[in-house]
Amino acid sequence: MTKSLPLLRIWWIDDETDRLSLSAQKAIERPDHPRLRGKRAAKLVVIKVGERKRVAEVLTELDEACRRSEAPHLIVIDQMLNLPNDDGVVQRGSGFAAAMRDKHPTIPLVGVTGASASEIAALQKEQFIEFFERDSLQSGDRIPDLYGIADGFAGVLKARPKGKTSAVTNLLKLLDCPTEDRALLVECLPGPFKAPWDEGTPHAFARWVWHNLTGRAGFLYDDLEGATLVGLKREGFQLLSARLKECEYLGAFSSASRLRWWVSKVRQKVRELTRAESTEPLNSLGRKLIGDKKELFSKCYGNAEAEAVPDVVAFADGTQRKRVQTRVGDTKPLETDTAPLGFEQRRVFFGR
Amino acid sequence: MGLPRDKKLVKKSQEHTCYLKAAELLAHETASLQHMATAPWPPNLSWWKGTLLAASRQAKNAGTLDAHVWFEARDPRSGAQEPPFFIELGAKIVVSTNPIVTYFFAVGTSAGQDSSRRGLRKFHFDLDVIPSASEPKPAMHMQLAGRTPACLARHYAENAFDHLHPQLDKPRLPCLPKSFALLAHLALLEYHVTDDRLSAFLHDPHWISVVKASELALLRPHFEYCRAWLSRAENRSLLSQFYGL
Repeated sequence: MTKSLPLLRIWWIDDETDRLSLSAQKAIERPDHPRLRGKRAAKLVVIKVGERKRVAEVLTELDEACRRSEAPHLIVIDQMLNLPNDDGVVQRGSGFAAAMRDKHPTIPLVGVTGASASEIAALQKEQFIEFFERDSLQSGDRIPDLYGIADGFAGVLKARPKGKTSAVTNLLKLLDCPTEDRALLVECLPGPFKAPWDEGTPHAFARWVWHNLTGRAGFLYDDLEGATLVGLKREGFQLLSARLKECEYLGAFSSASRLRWWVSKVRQKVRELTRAESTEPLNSLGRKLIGDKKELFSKCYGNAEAEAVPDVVAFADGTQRKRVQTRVGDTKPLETDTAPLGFEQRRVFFGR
Repeated sequence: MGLPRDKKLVKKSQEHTCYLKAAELLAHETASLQHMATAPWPPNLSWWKGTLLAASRQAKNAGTLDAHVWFEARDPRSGAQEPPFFIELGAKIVVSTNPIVTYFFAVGTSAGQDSSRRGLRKFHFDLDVIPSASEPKPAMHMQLAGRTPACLARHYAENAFDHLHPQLDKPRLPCLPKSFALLAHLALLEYHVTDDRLSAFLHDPHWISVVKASELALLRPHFEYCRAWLSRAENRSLLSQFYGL
């Protein structure tokens, strides 16, 4: 019997609600992604704030919804609310989010902006689990992320330690951590998550999972990083991915539009499929698995003719918009990045 | 016609090795480096964590090990005004039909310009299990100098260790089996006295457990082999046995 998944209640708070097209609203309520289609649905409540409805009234509405046990599973807040508060100071979505989280720490909050997310200050972004560019939701590309965050946060709330008990065992289970990675992951979990939790810890943990565990290379790889690991282009890896199904990350905050792969499981599976020794390089094994189709082999960015096999994914340049497969020797560490323990240094291509 | 006596023995010595094979050593290093990385390194060595994990990851993914770390330390007998030494530690393992297993322990000092360094000492600890009848040698041996590893090129000039005559392979002196953890422990034992943080770290239970794991995996079989050999080979030398003689 298929387990029925809950109908999500999502609130969208905006000062210009007509910017969210009707088709996008429908797409949020009935996602069209193949993995969610017909399986997940949401009731989207769009709330326009402005002169008619002040931010304080929304907070009251939220209190009432919580009293009726109808609290939203996720709230999306526009960052550019441009509403003056009682003191005449323009209120940003992040300020509103801070107030809302203070009162209702069990509701996950995400931000949305019409501008580029990179233009939003880091401190403002930290009020949200994730910050979406409006177009990425309007297009439907990242709608599954909303479901991933709502479900993931609900999982965190269930798994959080009660009293003074340690959270570690629950968290490893929540993250669906393979046995091989357990010891290292425990060491790499920031200290506050291993200590007794307070009301703000679920939000901090959610951000850590979203931006570190599933957001940067380390324990998990995305398609491009996975492809590089096994010596293939992204298309080659996607071809191989059906055989790597059991390596997919299915823990908290997994999202159909943000696939991640346990590196340790991919390593094991590729060696198992090719019956290879543990010392054989994965990049040659991956190539064998797709039948030595050269057109699917990874190529070094900036030097596609070279025989060298790419061994890292790096930003193509300082704008950090495009990521490419290259040799680590052709890259340098991204100066603004400090890799947490267990995670890889972000790098930028510089060529030779 | 049979082989000359020394050749027979050289061949025979392959069968009774007390060293981990390159692939086994690589597997040991993969786990050991990860264990090392989570040790509570003093702040001046905390950058080792990422480097050690990256080396472990490379070993798992590419089946090769290429690690290099360093720290600064003062010689107890040098004056306070004298610059500290750079203690460089490295390892390279390539598993193939002709495997490469080599560790190095080098000492350098500031060359006085930019971040360049001048080479003072360099020891290589190699595991070379391919027998050579013409030049008997201990499988696990230490050499002064040896070729300069590529990882040192960032700070050292190509000729930084030339004064040690790296072209000279001999002497190759038998030594204890090495792992990266054992090499690091050795370096800390040598240089901790002028740095309280290193002294404290040497006794840290996590670090000791890393070193013990390597001692059990590498040194125990070695000493058991030596003990067994000494107890049964009354008229033959253990040192000769290391040379396959």
